Amino acid sequence: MRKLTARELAQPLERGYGSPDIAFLLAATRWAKPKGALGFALHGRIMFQPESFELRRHLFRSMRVTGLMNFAALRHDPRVWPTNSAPFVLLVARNEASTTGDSFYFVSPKNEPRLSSIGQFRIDAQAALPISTESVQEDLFALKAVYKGGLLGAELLRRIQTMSVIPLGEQLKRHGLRFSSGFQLGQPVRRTRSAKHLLGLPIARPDMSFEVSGHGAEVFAHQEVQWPRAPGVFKGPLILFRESPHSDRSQRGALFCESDTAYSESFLGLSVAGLPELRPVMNLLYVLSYSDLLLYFHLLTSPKFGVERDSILQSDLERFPLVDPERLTHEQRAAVDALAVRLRRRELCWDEVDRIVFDIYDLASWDRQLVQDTLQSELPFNASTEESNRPTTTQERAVFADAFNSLVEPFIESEGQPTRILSEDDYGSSGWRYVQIGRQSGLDSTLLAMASRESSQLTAVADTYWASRVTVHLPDGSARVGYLDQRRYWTKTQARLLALEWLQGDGSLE
Amino acid sequence: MPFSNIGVPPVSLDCYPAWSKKLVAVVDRAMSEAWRRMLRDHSILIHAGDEDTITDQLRTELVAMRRENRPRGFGSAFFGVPTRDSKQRDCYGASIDQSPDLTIYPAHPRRGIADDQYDALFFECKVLDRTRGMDLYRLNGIERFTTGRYAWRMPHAGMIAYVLDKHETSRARARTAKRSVLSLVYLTYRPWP
Repeated sequence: MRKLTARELAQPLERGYGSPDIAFLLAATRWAKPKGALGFALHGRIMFQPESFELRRHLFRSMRVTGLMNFAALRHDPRVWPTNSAPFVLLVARNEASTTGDSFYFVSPKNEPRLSSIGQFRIDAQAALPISTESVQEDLFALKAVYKGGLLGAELLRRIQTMSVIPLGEQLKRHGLRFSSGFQLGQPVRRTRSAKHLLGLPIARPDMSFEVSGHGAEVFAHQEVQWPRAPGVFKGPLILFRESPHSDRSQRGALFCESDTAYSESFLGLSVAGLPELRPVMNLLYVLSYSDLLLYFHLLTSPKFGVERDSILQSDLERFPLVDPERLTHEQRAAVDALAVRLRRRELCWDEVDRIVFDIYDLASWDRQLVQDTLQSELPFNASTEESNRPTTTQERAVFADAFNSLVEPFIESEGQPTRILSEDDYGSSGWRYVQIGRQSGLDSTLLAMASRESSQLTAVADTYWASRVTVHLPDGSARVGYLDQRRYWTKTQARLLALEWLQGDGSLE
Repeated sequence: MPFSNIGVPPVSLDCYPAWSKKLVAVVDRAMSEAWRRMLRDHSILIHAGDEDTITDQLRTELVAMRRENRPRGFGSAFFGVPTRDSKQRDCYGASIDQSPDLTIYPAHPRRGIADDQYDALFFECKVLDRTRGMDLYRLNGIERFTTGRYAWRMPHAGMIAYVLDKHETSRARARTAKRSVLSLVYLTYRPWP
């Protein structure tokens, strides 16, 4: 092992990866027979860290990965792995180099408290996504994006990144700017460095919203701290991004500080002191910080947020694909400036914030819906877990049916009676809900009644396979589709996916 | 074969199934509408007869129409953003720079397709007029699909011809452009391994 590490493994392992697990995995490729099976439990960081990209590429090139099961969502579940709280993945591979066109299954069990309470989790065949090996070798965020955003989210992220955008960090560098971490108070015995430059400044606290003003804020009074940072990073005007995004949007966005402000390491500060020409950029960043799109980006790319700890890194912010502020239209710039003023006045103008940011990024209505639905069910907050697992209401299922019907309607105008969701069963007692898809005129009521009666058997079979969805095609051309009665399966985006699948599965060109 | 366990990889499809007729029909309607818009707003560009410029404007119209969900069904719910000259590998792996003129991807990969960059409606565009005839259409168009250069995992692809009428004098350019037509023909063929 030592020889291997020294000679052949040193190079990939020196590329910024600290855990020993990958060394064992690579060594196993030497010990196992050619084409033999390799199976390892690994720390999740190898799949999500941008810094591990080269090593990840090396792994996916040097072995034929057949499947990857990602347990990041269950990391806090003591019944899954009682002695471990780190995110981990199970990797299975064949001991041979991968070739062009190879793919593997990526499965990410969801956090379902009802199952967790009895020590179980769901491995859902429906959620086993085939991923091309090449995409993991080419895309820094391929696995994180699919884990949190699904295939639709990964595509949206790719699209945003190929727009006329430049990573935020690069744009700041052009102006000689960068984010800075705030002071660290430290333990009393370690407070040995002078903090005179901070004395008397108002202190930004994580529970503040929108703005730090000199009036009423606590002032800094420590003569010495452990890490005081350079005086320049506290010069106003500045904006302070939070290291830990909050579920409450008013405590999620950045704090605006017109004058010098003391902030701790809970913030990432950006000072634009002496650069009044950057006020429009500052306003754009400020408005962006309250938008759903920035949070969505972090959710789909950050190696920490939603994986390990529920915070973001400076590098996550620096990677954000910021549109070139110079390319904004006059109207967009004016709207951003006006919204920045309204936010500083503590107006909760979330719809307007999202609308302008989505417009700037040219996102279509279904992209916006995707962002909204993903944030509702995938954020690493307790409220989000509860929301995605709760049973649906009649109204929510009606919205689902309406979304499906309006989407498929343009494709079947010529057929007289269009295909649509015709009915929704009351059969919800066992944790499932069913809809009937077909044409009103062609519906066989006897078949429908029989299918409804058989729902209990159907549910039992579906539960046996740990499925989240079941589809039964009936002889009259209609279908009966059941989903688990959990909110995450009854969103407009899920209705869109069902409609797309329905249309794709229909008569083909051949 | 559906997922059974993570020790068995997804079945690799050499050939992808054909797209649904309903989705293709909506794309046809979108092409037709895009051409109508071009005749209305960009007749001079059409008359100039440069294939790349016409194709680029056609793509621009399609992108805008997708955003507007016009015609109904051709929207972001089902279709990705149309692209021009997206590069791909040929079926032999000899070239990674094959670029069909227009590509329309589904918004979401079809079930069982992992390598979704090859699952799309691919189009090659050609100008047909008095100087550019069917030989060009065949050699630099159809044969790019039938020889495994483009769309080799798909059983079908589209040939778009900008059939330009340039018989009239320069004084009547706009009117001449309006007599030009867009022809869309689907080829079905045996995909390459």
